[in-house]
Amino acid sequence: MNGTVELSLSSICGARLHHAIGEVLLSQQSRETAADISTVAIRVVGDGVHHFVGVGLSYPNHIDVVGSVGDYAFCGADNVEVTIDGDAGEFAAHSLRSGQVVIKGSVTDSLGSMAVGGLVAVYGTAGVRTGICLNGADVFVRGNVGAEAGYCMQQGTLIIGGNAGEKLGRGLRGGTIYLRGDVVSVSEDIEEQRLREPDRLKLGLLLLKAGIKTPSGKEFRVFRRRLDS
Amino acid sequence: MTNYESKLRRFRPRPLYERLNADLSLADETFDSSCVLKGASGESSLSWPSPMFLRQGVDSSCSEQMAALLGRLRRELGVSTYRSHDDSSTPDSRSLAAGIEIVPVYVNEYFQPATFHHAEQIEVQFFQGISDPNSHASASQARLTKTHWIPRMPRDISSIEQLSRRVDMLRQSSDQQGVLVGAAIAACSIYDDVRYIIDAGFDYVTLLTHITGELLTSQSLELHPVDSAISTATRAIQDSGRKGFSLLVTTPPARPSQAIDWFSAGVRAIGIDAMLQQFRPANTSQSGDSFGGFMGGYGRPSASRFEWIYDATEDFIEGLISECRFVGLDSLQQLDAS
Repeated sequence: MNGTVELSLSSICGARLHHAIGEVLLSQQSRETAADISTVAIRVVGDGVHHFVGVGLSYPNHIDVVGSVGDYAFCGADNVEVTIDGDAGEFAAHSLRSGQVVIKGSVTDSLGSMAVGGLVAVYGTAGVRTGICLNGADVFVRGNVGAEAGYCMQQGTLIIGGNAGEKLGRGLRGGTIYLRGDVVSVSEDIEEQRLREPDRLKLGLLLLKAGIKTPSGKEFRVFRRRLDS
Repeated sequence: MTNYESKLRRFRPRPLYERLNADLSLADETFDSSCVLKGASGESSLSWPSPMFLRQGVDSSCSEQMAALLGRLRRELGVSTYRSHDDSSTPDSRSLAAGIEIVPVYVNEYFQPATFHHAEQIEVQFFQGISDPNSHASASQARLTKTHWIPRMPRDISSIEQLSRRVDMLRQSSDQQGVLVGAAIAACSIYDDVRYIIDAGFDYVTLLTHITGELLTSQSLELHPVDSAISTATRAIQDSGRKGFSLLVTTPPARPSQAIDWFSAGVRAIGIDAMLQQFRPANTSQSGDSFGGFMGGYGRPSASRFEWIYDATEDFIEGLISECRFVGLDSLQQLDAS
């Protein structure tokens, strides 16, 4: 480990965070020519809630955001390892391509929308339309989620550790929803299926990856696209 | 549903008595054919070297040779072009000397912000994307049916506030100060769509009235008569009260004099794909388009297949400038004030 670099979030929202990290890593490399800059950890300290933090970010370094972030946090991020020590707004990890975004607080609506790869983990609760148009990524929410979770999902995995709201899986075309708690109503587009061994294995691996230490997976129910729909 | 229709205001050439003090050496000077697109905030603006764009590569497939030609048209003739959907490269930097390259973003496809880190102009395409699993977009024929151009809202957006926030996100995703974010939409419910796009905070709208297939073919599709579309859109812009909102249109095959009427009516830039298509040499057709085309292309240097596009563009620009001088214009920006 080559230490930690600290950045202030006050002026580096949007694509500027990508460039700011690039500059910091470049100066780090020029100081220690033999250093492997991919192991430099980045600590981003917030002063208020900023929108569009980390849009298009693409650095493999561990990035720790201290404080909450606003809408579209880490939208389109690729090959990242991010931990947010707070809450996030709408469309967190939208279009995530690869890597891992862990949000220790709660998020509002449309978590992981259109994400094509990687893992988004939320330790708190999530708002409506969690995993909307999910297109290959894995989304985990430890607490409850709002209505229409998995709306128009194409592929990928949505794991809900708490309860789900109305119309779970509305418009779902592909992918899998795992639910541990209760659900207000299930949409006609999906049906509950028997939890099989591959499901348990997949759940266990994803829960471990998300940092959950009781990955038995037995208490979960599994929902997929209704076969006759 | 509101649908206002009105006649297009025609440009009035400068009469003889107003040319009394005209500089006779004007014809020898370089004509200023640039146009300016202004941002929603009024602070940012982007100057285009010429008020023309080509949608080749975004509405149709783009071969390497075509991409190279589009680069030349940008650099040497100042025609703005779109980044090809297939081009996911992430350039280290952008120079305006290389011309304007518009980065398209489809409403129902995931974003790749890395590809527009340095973009000076981003355009949201409000119709089905190339990689939509329900689309048969890979077939060029499918793009020439109205089904492909049905206006669509992003599936994950449920209010104008959310759309407005997405526009802000796109602005923040480029490191270019004052990046312009526009919307491309098929001309259908023009008045309401333009008002909605203005209210959502976009900087400009590209109204698709005419869709052109690949330039090596004669395929095209008219979505709406261009004159009526322009008058309806300009009325919508006027009614919104938004200053500086720009209107761009794709046009049918036309003469330079018609283009002046459109600029005069409030159009900032025109898509000239259809105009170029009409200059397609008779013996030029795409490989696979017909047996004759395949045989005709055999043994010929492949780069020259597209050379006529460059020549036709140059001719059209010269024709437009000549027409402008004829009717008494010193620059195209004079039309903004008329």
